[in-house]
Amino acid sequence: MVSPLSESDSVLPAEGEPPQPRAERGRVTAVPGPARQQPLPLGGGEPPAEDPSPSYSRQRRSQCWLCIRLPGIALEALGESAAASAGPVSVVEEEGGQVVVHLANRTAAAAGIRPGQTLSAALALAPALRTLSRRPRRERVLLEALADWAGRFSPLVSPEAPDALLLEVQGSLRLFRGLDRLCRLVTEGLRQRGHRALVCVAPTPLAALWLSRDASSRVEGVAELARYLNPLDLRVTGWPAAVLRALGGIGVTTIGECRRLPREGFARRFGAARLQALDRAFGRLPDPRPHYTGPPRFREQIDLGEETRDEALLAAGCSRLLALLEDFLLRHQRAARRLRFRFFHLRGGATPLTLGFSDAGCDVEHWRSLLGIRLERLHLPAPVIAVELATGRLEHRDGDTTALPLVPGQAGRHEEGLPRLVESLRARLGENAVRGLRSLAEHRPQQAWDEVDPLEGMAGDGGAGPSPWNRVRELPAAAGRGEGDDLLLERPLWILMQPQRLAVYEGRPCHDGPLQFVHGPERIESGWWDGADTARDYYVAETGAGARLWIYRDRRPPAGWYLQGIFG
Amino acid sequence: MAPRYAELHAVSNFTFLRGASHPEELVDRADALGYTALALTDECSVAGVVRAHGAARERDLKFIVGAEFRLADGPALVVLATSRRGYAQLCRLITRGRRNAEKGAYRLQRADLEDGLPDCLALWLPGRDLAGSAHGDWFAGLFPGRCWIAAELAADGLDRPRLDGLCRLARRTGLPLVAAGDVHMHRRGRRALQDTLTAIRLKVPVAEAGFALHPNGERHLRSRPRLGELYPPALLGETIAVAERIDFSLDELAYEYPRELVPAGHTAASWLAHLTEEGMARRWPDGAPRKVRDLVQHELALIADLAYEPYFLTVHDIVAWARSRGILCQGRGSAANSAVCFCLGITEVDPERMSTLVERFISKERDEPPDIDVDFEHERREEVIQYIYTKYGREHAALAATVITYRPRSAMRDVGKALGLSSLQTDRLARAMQWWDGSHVDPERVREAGLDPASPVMRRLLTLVRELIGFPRHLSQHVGGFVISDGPLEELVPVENAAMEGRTVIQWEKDDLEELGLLKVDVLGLGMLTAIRRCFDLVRGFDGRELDLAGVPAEDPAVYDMISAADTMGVFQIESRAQMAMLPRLRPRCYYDLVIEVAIIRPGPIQGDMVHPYLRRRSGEEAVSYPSEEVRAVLDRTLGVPIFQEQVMELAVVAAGFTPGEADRLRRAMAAWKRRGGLGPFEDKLKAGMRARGYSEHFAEQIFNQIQGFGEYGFPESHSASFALLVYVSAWLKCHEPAAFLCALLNSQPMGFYAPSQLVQDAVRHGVEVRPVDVNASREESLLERRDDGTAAVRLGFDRVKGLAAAAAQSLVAARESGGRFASVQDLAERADLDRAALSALAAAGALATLAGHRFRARWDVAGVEAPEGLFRSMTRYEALPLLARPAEGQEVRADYESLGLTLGRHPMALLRERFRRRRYISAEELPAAGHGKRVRVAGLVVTRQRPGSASGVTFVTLEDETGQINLVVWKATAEAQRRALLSARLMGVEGEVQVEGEVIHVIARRLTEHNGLLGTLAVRSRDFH
Repeated sequence: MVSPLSESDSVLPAEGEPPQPRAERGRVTAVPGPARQQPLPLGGGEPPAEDPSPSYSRQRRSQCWLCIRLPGIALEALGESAAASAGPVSVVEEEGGQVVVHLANRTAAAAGIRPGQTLSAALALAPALRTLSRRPRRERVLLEALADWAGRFSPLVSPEAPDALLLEVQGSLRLFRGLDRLCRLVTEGLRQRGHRALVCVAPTPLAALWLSRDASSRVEGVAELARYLNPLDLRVTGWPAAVLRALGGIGVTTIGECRRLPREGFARRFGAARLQALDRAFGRLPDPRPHYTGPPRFREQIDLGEETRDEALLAAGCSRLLALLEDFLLRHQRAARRLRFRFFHLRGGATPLTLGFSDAGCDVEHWRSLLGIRLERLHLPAPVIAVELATGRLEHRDGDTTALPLVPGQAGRHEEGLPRLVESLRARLGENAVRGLRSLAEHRPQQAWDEVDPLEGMAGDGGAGPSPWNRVRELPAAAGRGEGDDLLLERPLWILMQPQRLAVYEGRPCHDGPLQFVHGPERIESGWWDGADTARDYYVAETGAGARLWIYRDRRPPAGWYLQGIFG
Repeated sequence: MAPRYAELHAVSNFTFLRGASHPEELVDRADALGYTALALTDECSVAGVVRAHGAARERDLKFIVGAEFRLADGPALVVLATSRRGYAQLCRLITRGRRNAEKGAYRLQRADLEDGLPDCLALWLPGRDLAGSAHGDWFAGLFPGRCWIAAELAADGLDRPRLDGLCRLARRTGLPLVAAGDVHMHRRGRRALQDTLTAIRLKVPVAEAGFALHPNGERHLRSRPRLGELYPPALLGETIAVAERIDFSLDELAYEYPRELVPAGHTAASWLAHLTEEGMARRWPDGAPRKVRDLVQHELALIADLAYEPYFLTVHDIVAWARSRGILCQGRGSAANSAVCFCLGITEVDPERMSTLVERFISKERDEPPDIDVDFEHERREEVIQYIYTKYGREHAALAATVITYRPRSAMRDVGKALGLSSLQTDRLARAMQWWDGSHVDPERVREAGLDPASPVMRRLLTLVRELIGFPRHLSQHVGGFVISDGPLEELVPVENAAMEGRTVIQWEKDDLEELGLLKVDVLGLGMLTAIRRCFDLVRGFDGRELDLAGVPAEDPAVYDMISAADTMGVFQIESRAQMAMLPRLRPRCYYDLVIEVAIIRPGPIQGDMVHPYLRRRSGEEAVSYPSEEVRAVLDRTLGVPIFQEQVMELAVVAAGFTPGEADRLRRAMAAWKRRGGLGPFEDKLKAGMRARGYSEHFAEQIFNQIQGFGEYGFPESHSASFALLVYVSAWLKCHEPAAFLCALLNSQPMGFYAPSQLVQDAVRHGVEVRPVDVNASREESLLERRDDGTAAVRLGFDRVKGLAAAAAQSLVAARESGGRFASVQDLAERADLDRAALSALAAAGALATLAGHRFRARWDVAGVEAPEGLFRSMTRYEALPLLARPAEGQEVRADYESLGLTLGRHPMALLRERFRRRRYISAEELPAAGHGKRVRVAGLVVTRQRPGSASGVTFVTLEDETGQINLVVWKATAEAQRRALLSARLMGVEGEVQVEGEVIHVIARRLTEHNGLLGTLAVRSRDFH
């Protein structure tokens, strides 16, 4: 059994924490004396909060909550370079149609940039300000990762988005030889990972959280809570701005002042939830917290029962693992991008097989078929006794979940056609052997197409785009005139990446002899915006041998004739 | 030999976001290329034709008015007007298309064309529809013998097949082919800009605009030799044939004022004489003085000569109607300051009060339409506008347009987006455009925006921005320039929908009307008239005294004393920092001094360096001399310094030998030279003229510089004279009726330079009692209450309370009037049927003090008010009373500012005074004693920050403390170095030197500090002017 109160009682003074906790920060805060301390009310008939043995907390097992607050998480989530920058940096987000500062680094803060400022105000103060957009998703992932990490200090970790973690550490104190050392380990560990953290300890989770929004402090027992919480500005509660404004409007700006209001009148005006929150913070109501169970990660192993090289048997084993994975992914609403099979050999060692996908997904049928192809070609040095399937970090299934099958067997768009083909080809030929071509809406022939990952842009808007060769049909329509279809431009199937300069004889371009113009000129003047401004007259020309070429005369110095393409 | 050619299909930048050249550029280029004629055919618009017409007249190029249309159910075509009638038909068609669609768009169908364009020619633009579909027959049937198929070859590789196809089409339909250029720009060099416009139009970056861009730059005015290579000669020859069938110039447009204002049995002249006579009898009940009678006779003769009677009658009609509705108004402008206008009641400036010479305003030789602008109370101008619409109908009355053009910032924003910069970067660059000097941007600012000023992207960006600035973006409505016509207006100029519901605008702006000599009436809104009328009403309501503009006692020395002491906050025109600084030096003593005062403190005269010579001469430091008697006659009244626009024109006539017509062109060039350039020819003529008349080179140079300085800001005496009356009247009211004046200003907000807070502070300093908002005393607006001693006090109205809806205030007042005073917050909530938001707003304003005590209590009570429910409606709920501390004084003051924007309590600086005193800060009151050149510290709330364009980077900041205002001058270097404090301080501390000039005291700021922390969240808003 743990005896929390005595232990923490002994810890805190030893820690050097002064008895008046607020003095250390040099802020003048009156320590509430008894005269001001006798609140009328926020409790009706109940005993005042300062009662050393409040009704609820007497009955329950004592808890010790540690709150880790990460004030810089919005910046830290954006990567090291952003967090380490010496210049003024701020993270901004859109709020009600305006871009406002969410977080400012030290340099920016020194220039007067504060959270909540509009971007234009911030820029007026620090024109050199570097602004980064807030990425809530990354913050969530980072917080989860840290929750995962914090699991080493307590089995009960509860993330408080966007920037705090609550740990119930009563049971861990002995293991970590006291609160003092535990706090140090936490802060130090986070510092090493590049995070600025602030640690607070209190007997209730809300108290720890609220205290953490003010400054580092430790409160060792319910009886002490009022002394620490009462002077806090009500903003630490994170209550809606409207409620805070309303309370400010009647001159109530601290938790202590708030608790002096009549309970019933307070609840009626500002909501019963507020009253409950206060009661929870002060340990008058239980405050159960969800446990964070760590990011779902899949790792399963099955024994085959016998050593085998039988492909069918292996496939069946893998298939069972995949079925388990599918179930897992559905339960946790996650998606996998990378699967790693390991085929264990009896004598030791394992043969790995990794499948990677362009998109995180959960389409087991597709994986199964890919695996089949790969299994065929897998070289196994020895028979296999067991198979393991592990996923890499699983991804959230938000965003375009519509593209993913939510129910096993229901086909998503991803399965069909080209992507399937590409993944199959890649499974056989290797990642880099398969390329895609994309035509662009461009007047300049050389810029009119480019090479892409064949799967890129397949999702969503059906972005396969026009193929280079239906461009011919695109052009006149896009020029915005009329509706007929009788005028078409000719384009060759082969385009030279590097136009080839043509010899000129008596003023006429030559290619296996002088060329005969068939069509033209088609004048193309475009592309000034990217530094490759083009001004050329294109012609279709014929060689003496009857081959048709696409050639142009450059209208810019050094003028000259060039071969651009060859008609098939 | 290059073939002859007339371009029949060209759009300018009035085809918004498509055409990439100004109409004038197209004309100039077409002329330079030796074109025979040029048609401007903007899409469903003639908004650019007047400019092109003006340019073509100078160049002697045949100019054709036309328009391009894309029918919803039919082909695209170009329509060209052959005659005045054809032009009317074209305008009517455009009007129909525009009125059929929302602002900025048009919609026309084949059926819309069918009833008549008999006097127009048409070009069919078949586009790619070479099969002809059914359009050909319809088209040929609609324009028998006067239509062509336009062959437009743009070297896109399909010219030959297209030409073949067109020939087949021509054979099939029997229509002739004519060459046309589908011109979008005057030179090939505008290709990048044209692409950019396309991208802006489609709202995509250029790089993604793809095939929406033209494949090449051929859509420009091509040289005739090149056209000769492209087109068969017959097609080029046909353009000349088409052009020759057109015989119409915009000069033919004549304008007639509505006749309906003249009753039967009268001519316009006799009726005007009759009305003038009537007015004279009213103005001078005992008979007008001889001088006035002569003046009126003289003016009437002049008006009759020029046949301007209908114009005066029209203005008179509008003014008379407004007056009958109790709407205060006053005319100004060249014709307004005539004795006739005084008699007609168009202006209140007594001709006896100043030496009016009507020729100064209207002249027979000058080919210039009379100009009368009428200011109305700004809140009631809409009534006047609706009257005009009702009286003349939408067929005869519409507002002139204002062409909204690209400015540096908007151009930067749009071009930046088109070049694919992020919106953040474009925003930051747009900010940098403050430092745009016309050709380049301070590279430092570009770097701050995270871009390399020397990079190709930046160079492209700046080049395009430079070209785009000044391009029209869309048509908006002019603030009040009305065109009223006798015939249907839509036969004169197309009418289209304005953004505002129920408004229509014509496609031309003021300058266009002026260029064509068409008359307009400006119906403008003026906040000060609203305030003055309110003030008259308040005085009448308080003690029954009747006041009006003409009836305010004239030339009151007390008023001039007040003005000379720069005690003019709230007074019309002379309340700005610059004006206040000048008043103690000018020390106006009579009405005409005010006329000068209004005109002289403006960017024009300041830049032209007229202010100081005038001051020196006025104070006797400098002798007044004139190079000749003629010049003396012109400049005598302003001590030899040209101050008014009219004087410049007169000088040009008497000293440089200009004809009055030339002088008028000079005036217009003056207004526009910064935008368009072009004072050059006038400069030579002016200087040569003066030299020839024996004036010194020095004098000529000086006069020319002053003309240039006038620029767009030169102020005509005729406007100044009317404004000066309002200056005097508002100053008189401030001086003699300060409570009513404050009340009227508060009820007419927003207006003027100062916020209600400063107006209230100022009035309180002048001994006016101002009482707080109170649910048991206030009304919707501020009002006058009688004090025990019988004088007036101001009771603030509910309109000061932030967040209180007007409807809630109305229902509160109604409930109080029917059921008596409110007894409690619950009583108020129930009887006035107020929701929590309204109650909270009242509580925040301290308006519940008589019901609930201090603000904290009031807010607690309000928060506890329950929505009335049926039976339990009036059931009183008993609940525990909270112990709420009384708000501290600072909290009250802060809450006052947050809710009301002002406080009747002590000034925030008074609360902080001790703290500042300890750090040796002094107050505004103590400044004079500090003495010139002394180093001092002052602090106060930032009231205004102003950076006038004329002051070369100086920022003027006004601080307010509990004793008055402190005027800061912040030099550019100081401002740059201490930008943060300058821009973010709401409570500013300043260390600097005192500068005393006469009675004007400035502090030249050296070090600025921001003390916002001391204010908490005190919501003090500064008014920033640039």
